[in-house]
Amino acid sequence: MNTQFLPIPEITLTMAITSSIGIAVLLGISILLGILGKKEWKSFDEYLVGKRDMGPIVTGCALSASYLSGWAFCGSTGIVYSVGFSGMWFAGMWSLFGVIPCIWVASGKTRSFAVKLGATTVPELMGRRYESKMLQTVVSACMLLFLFIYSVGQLKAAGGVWYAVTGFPPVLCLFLGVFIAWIYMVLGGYVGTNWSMAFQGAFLGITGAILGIWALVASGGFLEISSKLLQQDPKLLSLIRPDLPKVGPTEFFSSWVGLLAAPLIFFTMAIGFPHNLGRFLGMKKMNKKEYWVLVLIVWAITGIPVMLACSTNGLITRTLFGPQLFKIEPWKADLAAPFLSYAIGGIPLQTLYVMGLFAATLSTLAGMVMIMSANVTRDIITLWRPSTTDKTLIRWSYFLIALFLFLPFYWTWKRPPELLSVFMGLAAMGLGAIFFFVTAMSFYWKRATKWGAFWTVVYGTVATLVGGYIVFTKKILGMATMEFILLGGCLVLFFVVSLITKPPSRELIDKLFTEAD
Amino acid sequence: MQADTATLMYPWYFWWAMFIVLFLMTFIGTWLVTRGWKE
Repeated sequence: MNTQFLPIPEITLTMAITSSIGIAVLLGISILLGILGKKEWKSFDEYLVGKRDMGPIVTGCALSASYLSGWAFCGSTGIVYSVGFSGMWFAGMWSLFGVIPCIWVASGKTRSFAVKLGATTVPELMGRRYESKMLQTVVSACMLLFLFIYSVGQLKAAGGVWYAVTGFPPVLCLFLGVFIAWIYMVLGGYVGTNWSMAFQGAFLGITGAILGIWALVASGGFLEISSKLLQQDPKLLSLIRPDLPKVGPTEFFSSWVGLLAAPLIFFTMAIGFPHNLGRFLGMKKMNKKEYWVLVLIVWAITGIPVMLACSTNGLITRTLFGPQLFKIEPWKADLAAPFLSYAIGGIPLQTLYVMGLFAATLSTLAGMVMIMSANVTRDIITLWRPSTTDKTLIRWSYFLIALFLFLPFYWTWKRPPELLSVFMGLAAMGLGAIFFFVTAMSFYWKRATKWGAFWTVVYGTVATLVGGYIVFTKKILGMATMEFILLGGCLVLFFVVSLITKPPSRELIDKLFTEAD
Repeated sequence: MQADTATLMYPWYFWWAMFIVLFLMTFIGTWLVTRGWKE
């Protein structure tokens, strides 16, 4: 046994029981909010966006929850634990650089355009913005593809951590999690889901802040952390690690290309993610004070907790446990955050952490699943068969929500298909690169046309899928270089094709850009 | 292994800079966005 480091925590019955109770409480409150949300909708439109009266606190908490996935709450700590300071750029130090501009650029415009055009989903908003049913279908299919790929990996971290801290098989816990998510989504629709997400966002923000600050105080300070890291490996103190491969995901830690790509990824992802923009569709029109409250809530949840999770938490775990976690198959560094919480705060803090991780996981998944379900019901079925009744559409929604929740669960339980695993790595980058231009830029650039948007979607989709193959299977290109190829191509196609094709009608431009809200 | 304080603190200066810059970005940016708004 290595006496220099803390021993790996062993699972106890108390640990397993308290974690189980914690998750039960979290899910119980979420389901209660879903039941309360049932009173808030009567038609299918209200099921999709409520009454567009969500205030800044609920919107801010729900936006943070939809943006922060299980990866942000668990995987980011593992990255910094593995490679040291050089991992913090990609792990999430730039999170605020994405989500705060997302509010500036997209919140008011998404709401105002959606109200003017009577849109209840992001593809419907795009279809009407670009005056094209064809584009609405293409945007919907693209979102469905990428959100589906991206959602498959969402439950992995929560399942692994659950097993590591309780010893109970993750299947039952995850099944219960997705089943309860299905109940509150089906009952509550947009409003109930948003309320549950808001509760989960607030919870993970508070837990993340407690864990990060507690760990920093307990660590003995910055100099102490650095001294201990230096004793283990001086490379852990480097801000860039040229010793790591420049192909694959490690390019983010090993080169300036990676360092420059990280803020771009966070910026475009936060603004382009449809499940983030979805939070603004049902938001009320904010006055100045409410807008500040919205920003402050998002800053408080996404700022301190995430910045500590993706920097000091990983470094402190490395000083406490050394490289021992790499030997624990198959989770390895993913155990950094739960073990840190146990090391500094015992079972109470570890229970809070596990609850926070489940909150982060379920909220992001719920946000994505709600969008995917609406992609089919509203943007494909209603678009091409407008006579479909609300009752039929709501039944379809119940089925699709179950399907899109069940498949990530199934592939967390059973290994996902190889091809899906390859594409998963770049799905978030693809979503960000495509929809940053197709949605956010179209709110400001009057000359944006349906063909500019169409070719951006086509190029972004193909580049993401091909990029996944050459970055993760062939391993001949770095993931950061791929981001520039993806983003550069989308930028050129969106602007050049828009400039050479027929502009949108004058009537539409006047309605969107001249008329008051 | 021994190192001087400056070497040990070097990465933390960047860490602090990130916190400060992103804090200022949030508040100055929001002030710029909302300064023309009427209540």
